[in-house]
Order: sequence, then C-alpha cells, then structure tokens
Amino acid sequence: MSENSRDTFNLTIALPKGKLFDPAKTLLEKCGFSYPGLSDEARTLIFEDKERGVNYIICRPTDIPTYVEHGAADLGIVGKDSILEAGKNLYELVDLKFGYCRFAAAAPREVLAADGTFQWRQGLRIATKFPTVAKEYVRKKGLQAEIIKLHGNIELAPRVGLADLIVDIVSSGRTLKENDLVALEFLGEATARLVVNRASYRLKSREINKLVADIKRVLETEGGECS
Amino acid sequence: MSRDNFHIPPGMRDWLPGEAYRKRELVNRLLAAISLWGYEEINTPLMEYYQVLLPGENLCGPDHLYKLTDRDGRILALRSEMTTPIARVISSKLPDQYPWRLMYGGEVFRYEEIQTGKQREFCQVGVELIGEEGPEADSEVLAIAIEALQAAGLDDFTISLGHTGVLKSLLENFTADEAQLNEVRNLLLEKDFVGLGNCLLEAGMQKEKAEMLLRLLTRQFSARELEQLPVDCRPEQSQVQSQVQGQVQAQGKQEPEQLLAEWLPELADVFADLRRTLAYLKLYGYDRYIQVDLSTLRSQEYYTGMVFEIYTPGIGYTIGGGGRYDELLRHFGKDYAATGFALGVERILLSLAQDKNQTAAQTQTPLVLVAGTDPGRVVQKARELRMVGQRVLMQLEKLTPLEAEARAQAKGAVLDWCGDGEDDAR
Repeated sequence: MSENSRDTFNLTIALPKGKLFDPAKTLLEKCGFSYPGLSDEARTLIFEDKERGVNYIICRPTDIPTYVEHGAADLGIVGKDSILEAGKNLYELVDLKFGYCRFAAAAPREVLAADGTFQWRQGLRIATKFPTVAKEYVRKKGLQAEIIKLHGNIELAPRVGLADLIVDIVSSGRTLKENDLVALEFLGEATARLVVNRASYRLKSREINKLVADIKRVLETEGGECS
Repeated sequence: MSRDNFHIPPGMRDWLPGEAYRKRELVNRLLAAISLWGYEEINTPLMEYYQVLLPGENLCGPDHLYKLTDRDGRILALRSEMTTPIARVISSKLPDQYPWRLMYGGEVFRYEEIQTGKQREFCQVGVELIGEEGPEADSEVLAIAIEALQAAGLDDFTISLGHTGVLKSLLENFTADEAQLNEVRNLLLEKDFVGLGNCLLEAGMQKEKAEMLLRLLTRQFSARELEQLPVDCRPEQSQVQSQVQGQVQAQGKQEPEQLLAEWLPELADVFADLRRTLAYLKLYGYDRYIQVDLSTLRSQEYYTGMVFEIYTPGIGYTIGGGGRYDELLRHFGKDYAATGFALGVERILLSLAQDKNQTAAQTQTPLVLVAGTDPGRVVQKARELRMVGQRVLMQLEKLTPLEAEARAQAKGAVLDWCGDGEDDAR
C-alpha cells in the first residue's frame, strides 16, 4: 500500500436522476464539489472532473445501491426507500434529511367500511414498486398476500382491478387523493442517505471522511439534525 | 442429450483451462507461503452433519447452508467455511498437544444471493492457530495473511482491524432488551450508521453519547494513530487525525474516546489488545497495512476478540478476513483459544486479473509440440523434454513439417521437429 495513492483525490460519486438530483447536487456544491454542466437531463451519464479527480455517475435511483455495492461508485446519494428495497451490502453513513417521504399502504376509498376501516384478510393482492418492503410488511401483519411488482404508476392497479391495495412511497399525498386512494397505514419514513462502498470506505477513508464531515457541517448549519 | 443438461446450478461455475490453472497456482502459492510458518495442511469432508456446522452460521436469520438428507433421514450440509469443521477435528481426533498450526485450501458452499465476486461455491485458503492466546498469536496470523497475499503478487491492500469487544461492551452497557440488542448488532453489521444512531436514541441513549459512539465507530486509525492515542484517551492527537477531525474539534466537542472510555470501561482493554497486536506487527514492518476500524465485524457469531477484513482497490468486497474465536471449541467440548483467517481465492484472482503484470507472470511454462517421421524418436524426445520439466504435446502420426508447424501454432506451442537421423532440426 503506497502512501501516495492516498493523496490522489479519486472518488466516483453516483447521483440519482429525478427529484433527489437537485438537492444532492446543491449539497455537494456546498461541500466544494461543484462541476459545471452536471445535470441529470444531459445526454451524458458520466461527468469527469479531472481537475479534482472526481467522477459523477448519473443513474436511476433504484440502481444506485447496485453501483455502490459493486464498487463501480465509491459513494452514492439515494433514498432510504431504494436502499430498503435493494437489500444490498452498503455502508449508510449520513442521513441527508432531504427527499422525505413515507411508505404507505393505501386502498381505494370505495372498499373501505362506513367507518373508514379496511377489512384486512388473507390473500390480498398488493401492487408495489417495493416488493421487498411489501413482503416484510405483510409478514409482520401475519398475512399472506400476493405481491404484484410494477415499475410505476402504482395507483392505477386498484382502479383496474389488478390489486386490492398498494404499497408505495407518499410525499405530499396528492397522487393518492387524485386517484381516490386512502392511506391505511404508514410503514416507515425515508430520506436521502449517503451510502458508501465497503471497500472504498476503508481504502479511501481520508477522502470519504472529509466529505462526510463537510456534509455534516452543512447539515448542522442548516439546522437539520445530524445523526 | 437435451440442451437442458448443459446447465449448472446457479452460483456454481466451471473452471476452464487457463482459469483452472491460475486458480490452482494461486492456491498453491498461498499454501506454500503459509507453510513456511510451520503450518500443516488439514482436510475435512465437503459434507457434514447439519448440527455440526451450525456454530459457523448466523444465529439470527436463516442459515446459508446447502442441506440434504442421507438415507437414514439425517440432515447433512455442505461446509460453508472451514473453521467449524476444523474445530470439530481438533476436539475429536487430535491429541491434546496444542498449539496446532493448521492450514487449508478448499471449496466451501453458501446459499447466498449471487452477484459478482459472490458465488455459492468458492475456494478458501486459510489458517487456524489453535491453543494460543493473545496478541502474539493474533499478530502471527495477521502477518501470515499479509505474507500470503504478498506471495500471491498482491501488495496494495488494507487490513481493517476491529474488535468484538467494542460491540460486546456497547451491548452490555446499553440495554437488556434482547430485541434491541439484536437490532443494534444487525445495524452495526450492516453498517447502517444512520439507523444505528436512530435506534440508540429511540432506546433512550443520550444524544451526546450516541454521537460520540458513532464518531468512534466511523473513524479509522492508522497503527501509528492508535499508538499515539493513550489508553486513558487524553485528547492528544496526531496531525493526520487533527486534519480529519478538525471540524469536530472546532466545535469544542470532547474527544469521543475519552468520554466513551469512562462510560464503557472495557474499551480500554480493547485498545490495549489492539495496540499490543500492532506492536508485534510493527516488528515485521507490517503495521502499514493496518487500519483500525472499530466498526469491523464479521458475520459469524463465534468471534471473541480482534477481527479483521482485507480490502484491495478495484474489488468492492473483502478479499479475506478472520479473527479470534476463543469460544467456538466449547461447542465441541474443548476450551482452546483460537485465531485464524480465510482468504477468498476467487476474489484474489479477480484482483490479480486487474493487474496486467500479474496476469503475465501467471501463465504456464511454454508448451512444446514434438513431431517427426519416426514415432520412436518422437516418444524418446518427448520423454527427455518432460524429464526436464517441459510441457510436451506429442504427435505420433506422420505429418509433414508444415502440418506439424500449423498444429503447433494452433495449440500455441513451439514445434520440436525430430528429423531423419539428424538431431532435432527446429
């Protein structure tokens, strides 16, 4: 192990496309990691900041745990929802506090009893983008259910009779309302996290620790609770 | 034969010519390096009784064993690691003449999700030093691991050194609630530091303590830094540490070790143990490979002291790991201290494959194709070449020199042509 290799600032960071991208980019900028043109809407998915020796990979949020677990990226910023679903071997270092959402089980209003309760029973069909989370949920409830994996627009499933209820992430609750779905129970909360590959965590500890310390400082000065 | 018969079970793999050679060559090199330390090879069956192997599995959650039943209805399992079978052998078949220095190289099976570098059948080379306690033995196995990897041609690796005493002390001083203890253990094993922080707070730990603890667990010390950190943990720091921890200190917070040591007195023992181990490693000059990381844990529950994992750039997983397991032998009715490690052969191969110089160095000796007009001379010549260690292909059919040359080329061999009467005219 040469001491020199430690001195080259050499990190690959995976960033999620979509709603977490902008807050993630802003946070990194505050920590001194800014790169002109870094965008999740550009044609390119890799940005190389040669000056600082930092590579950015832009990918789907659900793929970030995979990139980081395999070490294709040293670090990633991703929602806890994707981490839970992926079940990968990652080090979860910092709660970044943005991208708050909740897992909810929701059913169409029309199937609820007059007092608003839902008749839980065996053999329910549950549509979800998060089969792992949904399975764990029904297991804890002591139910057997058929989990139907969909890739998007879960709210459609109960309306066309594909499923009795859905398990999905809810941030404002507007989608549920628009589709006349009622949240029955909340399964847990999720925010964006900084995840790290287990080997990088050891081999690039100095760079990573510095970034983590910077992120924590930014979060603290912004009044967020730091874990 | 139907095409279905071409499949092999998920997580298994065929080792084709070249690959198989490199794998065996690596295993041999690792074992040769280890045997220089006076370790003797031991072999155990691939298949054992299920109960025998259980101590090597996680206590919570499903085990990862491949199970089958024998004709008497007893449950068997394929070994998932070598330490437990060796503990069984020591306890039942070897006279009480400890210490034992044993090494092994063999396949183990684990029913796990398949991914790159994580197959269900894989090869481990490792050592067990049984019947010796303390940092003397721990530093010995660490030094062997380092020299074995060096012998394999790997030099750029880091050993992450931890101690189960950290978790133990935390659990003992924290709560008696079994469910919470398990949760803390799992969160730490999964390195979910966010979840761990939340869990500690929910269980009623003071925020300050939880933060200190997390800071200690997410911090890495070089051997030198650990040495300079006094046992009673006064807030003296090396320069490197000050750099890393600068921000934290700027906020006027106390050194985590100091407060934690008051709160978790066992930590002082942990630090002392690690420090003595590192002091021995320094005698070899190997402390440079070590990084102390107190969050290092192994998934097996039998570890009782120092534990370590080995990482190398380019591979997102550990390439090996081990630690002290003083209680495992008790499962088999003996009370021997023990320490050891296992290296993942496939992962080391992956790492070596990324290094061009290494791949070149690992090719076999050149192949010679012997052909000629007189089969008797061909046999004779081939035999002579084999006697001096050449790898020889023979061609007894009558070929023209041109045909022979073409065949040699097709096999990547050098032609050795036995002409008429004359000595080989290559």
